[in-house]
Amino acid sequence: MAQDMNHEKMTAFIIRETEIAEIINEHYAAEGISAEDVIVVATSPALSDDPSKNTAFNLFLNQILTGELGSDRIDYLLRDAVHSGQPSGRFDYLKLMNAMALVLQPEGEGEAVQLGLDEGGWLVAEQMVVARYLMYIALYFHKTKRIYERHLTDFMKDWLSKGKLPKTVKKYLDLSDTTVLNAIVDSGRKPASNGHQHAKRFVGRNHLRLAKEVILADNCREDDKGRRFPDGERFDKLGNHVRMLYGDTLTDIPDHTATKMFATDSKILVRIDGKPRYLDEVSEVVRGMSSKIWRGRIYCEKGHEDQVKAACEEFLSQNSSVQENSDADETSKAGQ
Amino acid sequence: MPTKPAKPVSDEAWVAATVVALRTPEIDSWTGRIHVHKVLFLVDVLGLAKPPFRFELHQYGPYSFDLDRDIAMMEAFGQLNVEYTKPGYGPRYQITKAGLSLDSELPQRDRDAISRVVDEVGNKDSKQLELLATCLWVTKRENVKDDDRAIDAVRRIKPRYSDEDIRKSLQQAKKMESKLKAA
Repeated sequence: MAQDMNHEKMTAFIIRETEIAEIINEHYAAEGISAEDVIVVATSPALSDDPSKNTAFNLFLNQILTGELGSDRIDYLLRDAVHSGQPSGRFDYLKLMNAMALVLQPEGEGEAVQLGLDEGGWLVAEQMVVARYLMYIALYFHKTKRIYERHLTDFMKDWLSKGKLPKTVKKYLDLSDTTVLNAIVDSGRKPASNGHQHAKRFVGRNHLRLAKEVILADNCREDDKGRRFPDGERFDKLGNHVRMLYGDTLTDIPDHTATKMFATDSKILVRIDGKPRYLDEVSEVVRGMSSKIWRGRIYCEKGHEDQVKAACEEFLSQNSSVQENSDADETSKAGQ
Repeated sequence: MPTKPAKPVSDEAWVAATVVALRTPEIDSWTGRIHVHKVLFLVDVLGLAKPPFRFELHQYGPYSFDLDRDIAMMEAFGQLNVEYTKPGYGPRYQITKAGLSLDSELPQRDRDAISRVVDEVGNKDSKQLELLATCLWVTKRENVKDDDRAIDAVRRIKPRYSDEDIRKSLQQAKKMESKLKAA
């Protein structure tokens, strides 16, 4: 089992290597359905061992399940909203489903047919994108959730044998939530155990604290069309600066998983006046969404928050974003 | 005296170099999503350089989800602009000032590799690129050398192309490979 497994690849591997494949092949063979069909539909056409399963029908089912407007996406937003008590994740999914249509790809993008929306679905698609944005900020990117994710990652690296996930499906499946939580509690109580320094953060609720959160409006540059985007370089410098001053600090920004979440919104197709248009082309709301998720956070040990925050604010006030400096340079040159 | 380790090249530098090459005035390629994906795949599969993206077969032939993510990050960070120039057409990418600095991160030999592929395929449309890339997937990644078997294999993956189109594309792929590897 390769160590670069992702979620989808792991699913395909589990289907194939456990009794799931046997059961599917036994019970559905008469209908011409095999485990490889299920892998194409449930994960990705690329993960099937049998290229003949990449049929248009299977690809379409895959879109219905995992696509930009897929049931998986609609489900997790609504379910997470209910279970977390976060109302912002709700949107009119019934209207969205009613508006779904088969839409031909735009010119220059291939000639495939894709699950998209007819004209009536434009507004509810925006609603879904906004719901996803709000859920991301309020829940998936919540400051405490994020830092505990980091602590968990650090614990797993220390606790797992050689810091790697198991190589067999059986051992991987044995790594349930319960197993890991038990290991954290156990390790948190035993100073000599692997991962103890990270586990005790959970046991003692002694996570790193948020010292400073930098929002896009305070750390942005503008492109030549006036669109704002994050000044990643400035934030990196800020992180290095406080790390040099205070040692055990940690920076956090929306990572690739966040961008992936919003990148797919740009691939939602809407049929407008008979033409296929991408949602981010026609919707100002969606267009501006991807950069708006940006929040830069600096975490530190409990008790140092005020000092670290002050150091951050001093640094930021003395190191403006490049755009502002460029404007100043242009102005001074013009005056010469 | 110990030498300084070379600065690691970001994945985004490959995207920037590809978009810059595709948008040079002499080529002025459409530079859509498919163009960027297929050029980098061709660079990889022909062994001209090693882009850091993992390609797999998807709806439009060889495709990389890592590359998709990096394109989205570049857009979010203002390094790439997306332009919708015609209703009913997909987006075109253009590098921004912030993105241009990434282009120079890539070693010249890798930028040359990208440019040579762009010179060959930059003016093809997405349908042609999709087929060309799929042909090379079959012959190079799946190691199907016999032409008739290769046509069968490509047809299974891309049933909407005729045998004649596939045969022509296979020949083009062979010529292109010989030319680029000889250079």
